[in-house]
Amino acid sequence: MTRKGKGKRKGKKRNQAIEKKPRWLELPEVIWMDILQRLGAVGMMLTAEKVCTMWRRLCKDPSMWRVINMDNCCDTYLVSYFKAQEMCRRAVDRSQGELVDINMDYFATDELLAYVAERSGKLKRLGIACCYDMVRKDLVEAVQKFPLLEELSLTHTTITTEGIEALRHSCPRLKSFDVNNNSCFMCLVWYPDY
Amino acid sequence: MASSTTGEKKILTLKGGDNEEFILEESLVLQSELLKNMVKEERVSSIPLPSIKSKTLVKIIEYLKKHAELTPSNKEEFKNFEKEFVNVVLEELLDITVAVNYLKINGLLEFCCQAVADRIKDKSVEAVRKIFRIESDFTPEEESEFRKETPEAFEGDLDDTTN
Repeated sequence: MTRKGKGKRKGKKRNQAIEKKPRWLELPEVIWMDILQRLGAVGMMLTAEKVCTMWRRLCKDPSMWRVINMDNCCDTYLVSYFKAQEMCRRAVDRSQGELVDINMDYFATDELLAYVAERSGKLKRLGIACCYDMVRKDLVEAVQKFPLLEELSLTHTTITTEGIEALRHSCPRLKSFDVNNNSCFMCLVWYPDY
Repeated sequence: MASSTTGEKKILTLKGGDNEEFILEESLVLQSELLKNMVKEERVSSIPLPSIKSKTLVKIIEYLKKHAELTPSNKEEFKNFEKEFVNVVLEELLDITVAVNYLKINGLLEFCCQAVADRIKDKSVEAVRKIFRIESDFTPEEESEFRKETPEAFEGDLDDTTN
C-alpha cells in the first residue's frame, strides 16, 4: 500500500509540475519589483524578503530604495521607534546613494537625518512628520547636504518661524515647502507637553 | 469628410485559449498596447490569444468596456467596479495580472499590481508562502536566522488563505 501510494504520488507530482507551475512565477521580475515596492520599506524588509530567494534578491536591488516611504510604519507594523530607525538606516544603505524621496514619521531624529544626509546627495524630496525632538541647527545642517532638494514637508514638528527662514535659505532648488505646525490629534495624546 | 468611418464601427474577434471567440468593437482593444499595434500595423480582424483563458479574457473585456464608458460623473461607480473586479481568488487575480501584462494595458496593470500587493500586506511570511504557493528555497540556517531576527514576521495570519 505504501509503495503504491508512493508511485501514485510521484506521477501526480510530475503532472502537477507540468500543468500547475505556480502562477506567480509567470509574472516577469520587473512586475514583481513593482508589486513588492508597493509594500513600502518596512513591508519589504520585514516580510517580503524572507519569503524566497527571488523576492530577497529583488528587495535588495538598489533601484527598489530610491523611494523610502516609512510613514505610519510604527502604527501599521507595530515596530518600535528604535527598530524603525535601524530599518531606515538599512534602507538608506541599500539605496547606495540613489535615494530621491524619503518619508519619516515619528521616529526621525537629528542623528538619523545626519545619517541620511551623509549618504543621499541626490535626495529631491524630504518629508518629516510628528517628530518633536529635532534641533533647528541640526535640521538646517542636514538639509544643506541635499543640494538637489526640491520638496520639503514638515508636519507636526516644533520648527519655528526663524527655522523656516533658515531652511528656505539653505535649499537653493526648493520648489515646495509645506509646514504644518497644527497639533496632531495622536501626538496630543502621546506628547501632551508639546 | 469622414462619412465612411463615422457611422461604421470596426469589429474585431479575440480568440481565447480554449478557442472561444469574443467579438467586440476594435476601439475597445486600443487600450491594449499589444493589440493596438497588431490592429494598426497588421490590419488583422481576428487575434488568437492562446495563452489567455476565456474566463480571464471575459473579465478583461468587461474592464475595457467599463473603462471606455468612464466619465467624470460615473467615477465613483467605476471605482466600485474596480474594487469588485479584483475581489477574486488569488489564482484568478494572478491570471488576470499575467494577461494584462502580456496585453500591455498599463492603467489596469498598475491596479492589478496594487491588488496583488494588498494580498501580501500585513501577512506573515508563512501566510504569504501558503497563499502564493511559494516554497522556501532558503537554507535551513538562513530560515532559522530569519525566525530569530524577526519572529513577529512568522506569526499570525496563517489561516488567511481565503483569498
